[in-house]
Amino acid sequence: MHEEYFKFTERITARGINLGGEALAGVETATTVQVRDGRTLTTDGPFAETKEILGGFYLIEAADLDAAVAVAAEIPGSWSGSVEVRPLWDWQNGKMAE
Amino acid sequence: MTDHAAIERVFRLEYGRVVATLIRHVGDFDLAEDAAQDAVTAALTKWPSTGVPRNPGAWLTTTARRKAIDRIRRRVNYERKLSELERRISAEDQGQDDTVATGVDDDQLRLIFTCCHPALAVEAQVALTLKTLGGLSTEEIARAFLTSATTLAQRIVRAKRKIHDAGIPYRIPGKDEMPERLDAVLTVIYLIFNEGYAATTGEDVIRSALCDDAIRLGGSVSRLLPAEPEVLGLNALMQLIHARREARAGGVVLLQDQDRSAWRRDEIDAASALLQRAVAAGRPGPYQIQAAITALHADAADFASTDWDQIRLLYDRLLSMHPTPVVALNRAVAVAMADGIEQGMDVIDALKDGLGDYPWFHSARAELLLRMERYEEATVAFQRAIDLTNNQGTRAFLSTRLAELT
Repeated sequence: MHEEYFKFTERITARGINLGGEALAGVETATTVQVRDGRTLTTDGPFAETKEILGGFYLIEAADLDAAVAVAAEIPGSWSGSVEVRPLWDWQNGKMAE
Repeated sequence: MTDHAAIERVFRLEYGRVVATLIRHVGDFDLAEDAAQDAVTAALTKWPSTGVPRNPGAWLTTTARRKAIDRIRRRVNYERKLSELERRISAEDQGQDDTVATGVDDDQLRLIFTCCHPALAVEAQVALTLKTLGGLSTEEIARAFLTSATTLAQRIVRAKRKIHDAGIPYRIPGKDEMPERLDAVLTVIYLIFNEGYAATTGEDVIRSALCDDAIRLGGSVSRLLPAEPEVLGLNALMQLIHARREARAGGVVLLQDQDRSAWRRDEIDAASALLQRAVAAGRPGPYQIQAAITALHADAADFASTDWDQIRLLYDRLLSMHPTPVVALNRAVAVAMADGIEQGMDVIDALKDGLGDYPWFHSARAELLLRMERYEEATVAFQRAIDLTNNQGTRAFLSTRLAELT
């Protein structure tokens, strides 16, 4: 599996669409923070509702959703689990990035 | 031909094409639709006196483009967009007159694939397709699917926002994506047809206008992708079913009780020809098989002479491609008719886990129990089917069947 991820990262880097990304440590290291009425509540574990676990993310450049989906389908995690594709929020214009 | 109804027909036919072309020009669904509406309004004031132009689609497109430019011009901050748009349009208008509409077909295809993109919820795909390609108003779609116009309008707004924000492309899918994406398009058309053919809720069993819309959309896709056998298969299927509409009018009428002289023979022949063209391509698929099954029913002079052996074989094949409980249920009925009621009953009973809440499971069981003269069990099964259905026409039919028994 590591080998496959390595190959994938190499491929998207070679295509010049790899803008970054990180792997996350396991959910047993997760801490959830909520601020309510000015008080910070810190609890252990991921969000209680979390059914699927975010293992990491890639930031890629894609012309449109179909292109992004094609890249997502190359991520080994999508072969057994799932990959969620989302556009970046464009802070300057207060809308989705083009 | 300047009466209102004739103009209405032209709009229905041309609206999707006009919007599709405009979306490519202006890159914005809402602006394209607003401009198309402006063009329709202009036509409504002009055509009654001048008559419908020779190429109404081109007239509407040209007018709508001008209206789109007007609309953009009115918004000062769109100056940049305007010059870009004018540049693109004038580049395209070089050496081209209004009666030739090049690229229109591709525009329509792009729009179909955008509206039926799998990243949109299926209900949103249906609503967008009917709105932008079918030319139906939000109110008409809401009425057909028995939701409020507000809910439907929100659904459409959200879908358009997702198209823009998630970057759903406005393009024809490549070869390797084509089968999956075409399947999504055909599913949407078939869903529209099914809602018209056997309404799941409401009073009328058949909402014919939706069937007509689905058939019209299917025709467009087939004109745009003439080499796809499954497109032809779906068209044949819808037309074969629709040819029986008069024999099914006024409520649910079982195939065995339908007046076959009320079936539209000419439409059946035309649909059968479509199916033959599809089969000749040698790439079978679920729609072609369903059409073949329907064609066998259409070809039988009466219920007794139906070729159930052939139908059963086709269902075997369909089930291997589409192993769904509903296909299995229909196959069970074919087994009962081809091999014997008991055999069919065994197959049906094995499906209980997946279909316990499906009214047609219980009504099919009831009909077989009737044939086996197990009247008490049939009564219970009919009652269960009645309890599970939300369509008043279907419920009335099942109640009549039950009343005949008791």
